[in-house]
Amino acid sequence: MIKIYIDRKEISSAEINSRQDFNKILAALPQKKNWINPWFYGAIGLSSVIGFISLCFLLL
Amino acid sequence: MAMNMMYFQDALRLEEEHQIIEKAKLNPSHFAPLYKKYYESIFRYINKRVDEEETAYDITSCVFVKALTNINRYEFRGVPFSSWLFRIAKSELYQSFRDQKAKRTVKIDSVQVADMIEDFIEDFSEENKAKLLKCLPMLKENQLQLIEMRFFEKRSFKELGEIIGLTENNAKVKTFRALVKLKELFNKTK
Repeated sequence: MIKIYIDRKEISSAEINSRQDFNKILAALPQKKNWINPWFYGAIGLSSVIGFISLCFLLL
Repeated sequence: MAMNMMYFQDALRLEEEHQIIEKAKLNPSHFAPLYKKYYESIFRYINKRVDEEETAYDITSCVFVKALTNINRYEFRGVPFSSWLFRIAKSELYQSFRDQKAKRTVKIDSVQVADMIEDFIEDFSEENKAKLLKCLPMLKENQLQLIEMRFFEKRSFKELGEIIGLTENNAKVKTFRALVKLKELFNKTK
């Protein structure tokens, strides 16, 4: 059942804005997954190539 | 009818908002100015529809967390960012009704009731006021939403359409139908 309130006391802007907490919002954000970032793949790829070349040189 | 001025912004302000959003896509901490700007209006929108203030604060926080989580999906279409936030607020609100975390409420003042009764070409009296208050919960949820946003919150049809996902014309037609329905109920109620 829907409740109807008439002439209920309005909350002041100061009171509402005092409840702002942007840091809490930032803290609640899900952590970014590094493997989604293309730079992550780039770095992994590059280090693999360097590792492979170094290994080839060592074996020769 | 007086309008909700938060919605009407010049091109420069819209562009400023757009720049902030683009920066926030790269780093969420850049979102702070928009959080400050819209916190109060989002809270008031939610608080008018839920029973308890603390629940309204919690839902408001959820709205901003969801907005920032999905900011990369946001596309600028030349309308204020607030429309997107209100759309998220609406969906979070209905989710909390479904989860039974909040109870659906309508908070209005006597002036809004008097204006509405005058729209029905009726005299404002305690009897008519009681009749209207009895009729509002009889409306379907989507009709009640339209009446609330148009007549109690003074939103334009364009804004209303953006919040509920309709074109401006469709919003106008549906609001008119909701008003006709409310008038019907009002005339039937003794």
